[in-house]
Amino acid sequence: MVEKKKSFLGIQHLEIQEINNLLDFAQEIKERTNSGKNVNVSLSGKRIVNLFLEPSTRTRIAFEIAAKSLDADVISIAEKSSSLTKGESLRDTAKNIQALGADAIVLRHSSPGSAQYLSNIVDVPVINAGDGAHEHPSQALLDLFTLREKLGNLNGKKITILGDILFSRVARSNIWGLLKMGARVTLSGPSTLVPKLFQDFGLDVTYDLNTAIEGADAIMLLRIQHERQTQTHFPSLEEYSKMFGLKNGGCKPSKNCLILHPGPINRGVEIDSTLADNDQSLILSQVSNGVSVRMAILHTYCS
Amino acid sequence: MNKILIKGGTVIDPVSEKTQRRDLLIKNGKYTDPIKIDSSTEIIEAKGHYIIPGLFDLRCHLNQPGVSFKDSVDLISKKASAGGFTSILAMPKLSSMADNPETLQYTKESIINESHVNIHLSGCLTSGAEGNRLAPIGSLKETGIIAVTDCPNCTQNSQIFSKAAEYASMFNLPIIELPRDYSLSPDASAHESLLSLKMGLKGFPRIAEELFVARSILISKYSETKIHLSSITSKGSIGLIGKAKEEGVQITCDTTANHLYCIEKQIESFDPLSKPLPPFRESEDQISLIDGVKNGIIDAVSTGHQSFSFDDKSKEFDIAPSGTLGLENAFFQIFSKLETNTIEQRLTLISRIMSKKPAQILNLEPVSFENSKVANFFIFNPKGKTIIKRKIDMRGSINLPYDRQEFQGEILKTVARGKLIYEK
Repeated sequence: MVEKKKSFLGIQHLEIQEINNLLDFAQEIKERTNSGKNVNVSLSGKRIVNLFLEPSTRTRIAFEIAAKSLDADVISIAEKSSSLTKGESLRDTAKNIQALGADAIVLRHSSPGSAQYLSNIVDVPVINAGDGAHEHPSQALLDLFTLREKLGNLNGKKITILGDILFSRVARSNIWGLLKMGARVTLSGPSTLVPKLFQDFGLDVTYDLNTAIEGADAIMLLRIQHERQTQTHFPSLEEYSKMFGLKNGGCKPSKNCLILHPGPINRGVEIDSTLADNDQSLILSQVSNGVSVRMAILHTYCS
Repeated sequence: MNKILIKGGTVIDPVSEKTQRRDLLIKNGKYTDPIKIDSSTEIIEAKGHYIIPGLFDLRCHLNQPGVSFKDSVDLISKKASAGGFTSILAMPKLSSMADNPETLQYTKESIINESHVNIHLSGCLTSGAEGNRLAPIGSLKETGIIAVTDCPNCTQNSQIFSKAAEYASMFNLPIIELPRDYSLSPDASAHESLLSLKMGLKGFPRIAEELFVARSILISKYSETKIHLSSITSKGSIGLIGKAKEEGVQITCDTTANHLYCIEKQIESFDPLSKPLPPFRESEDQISLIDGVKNGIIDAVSTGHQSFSFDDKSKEFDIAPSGTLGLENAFFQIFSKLETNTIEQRLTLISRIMSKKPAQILNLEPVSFENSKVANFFIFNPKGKTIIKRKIDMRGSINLPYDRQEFQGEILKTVARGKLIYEK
């Protein structure tokens, strides 16, 4: 009987201590990398399989770079090149990957709960790289990491998440993470994409953008994702931009307020280019921090 | 001459509304005076046990993907008899869709007539149960269907649904509808709630059911037709139906035993085997459902039994098929959930909602214990224990809503169509 290893499935069920340990570890990795020192941890000899069954640029590449930086062997499989296109089930694909000697599977999938489902099937750890609208825990950790770098302790800080919350795994993972770190979380966006029921997570929901961004220490923007939502959940991208877009001259965050976005950005919709590219914006820091954070995750769960 | 004497049991009879200790003599499958015993009579001791009329399931899906239709009917017969059921109403997905007389005729002759339990057939309301045009309901009636339904589908077009109700009533056929507005529940795989928000699952809100419950009530009233609402899950539906009944609308409804027993918590670990149709809702709905059963707003309890193999069900939660097993566990779940002062009261209520009323909804004569009637009953020992658990069986039977449950009481024997078909 192979001993089952712990998987990295979501922020919801992580202890605060586990989150802090991962963030501290990522910090150490980042500092060593920046000062030109060797990272003193390694996954040499480990085979990590990136099973990405949904389009992804940042997350997939960040996981690849993270694994390679730890000297792991990385194999990336995309949906189009896998046997899933021949009708093989996820269950069988994953079992085969395990049988081929994978030591960990990084999974991106459109079904909520798919990472948890897979972790019940295989014995190797499963790293959730985004499962439907459920969780995107590595993104939330890198967001927490980026915020912590700039703001220090997040306890009592007002963090506003703005945009399509309903269909967003990034929002859910960040909500769990921020609440655990003691931040005050405010959600805003069109009422159709930000159901009032989210208040029951223990946070504020407002449909007034001024209220949402007033006094905010940081704003996390979310991508407006689905084309079809422009017919059923709000009238048009133009109207979205008018009502909820961050722009110079309109509803504008204070100078000290940080701006985050998990990407890819719809410039001119969620945010104006002038704001996306200025000093307040942490968008590219998020991307580069993503590597250190994912190295910390991979090493913690796969070593 | 084949004679069996059931001796010393307490007979629960919802038809005569009597509960009494008496002996039952079955001769050639039919009840007869228990004085006519002789040395050849087989005696079954039933002291301390209850004799309960065979249960009638209003919603049972016979087809199981990947298994031959004959085998799946065989499996269902076995499960039904183990769960105290002696009659079931098959939903229209058979070996193919029951939207043509040939399929129904073939099914009846080749399989149904040989079944151990009574299998009644329903026909499609619309061709292919797709909701676009009326099925040949009159011709289907000639092959012996006793209800029309597109279950588990729901006709979205209100004109077609309304005309179907009018047309079917011409043949005195009740319409059965599993109410759901698809446009309010696209791609839904869970009850819309805080839990579904947390899990990131697309929700099936109560209103998607309630709106179509209201539609059925209004159409029933407008066209003066009988409509039966299947597998009601929302507390709001109970309110609507209760009010309609007060006004004298010819509406009836059932909920499933699984929905009386389980709430949404059952799916919180994304277990596809537990994914039901319709979704499990919250405890406030469950409380309303239990009240509805007790106060009669809910007429009957069905199982919604749908068997899937492990391979079919073992998929990502949102793409796994919806449906759970219900025949084997339904009686025990209801027995454990309904609180009454005495066991007799509880069993009387159960036999009313799971035997008498389902038959009446379908315009059939309920099972009774009168002389010359065919014997359909089961023997229940309230002191025993029954363990219901998932079994790894390649032919299916894996998709119970829970992994394992122990229940009070045991079913010792089931007699259907006058024959002993199950013994524990």
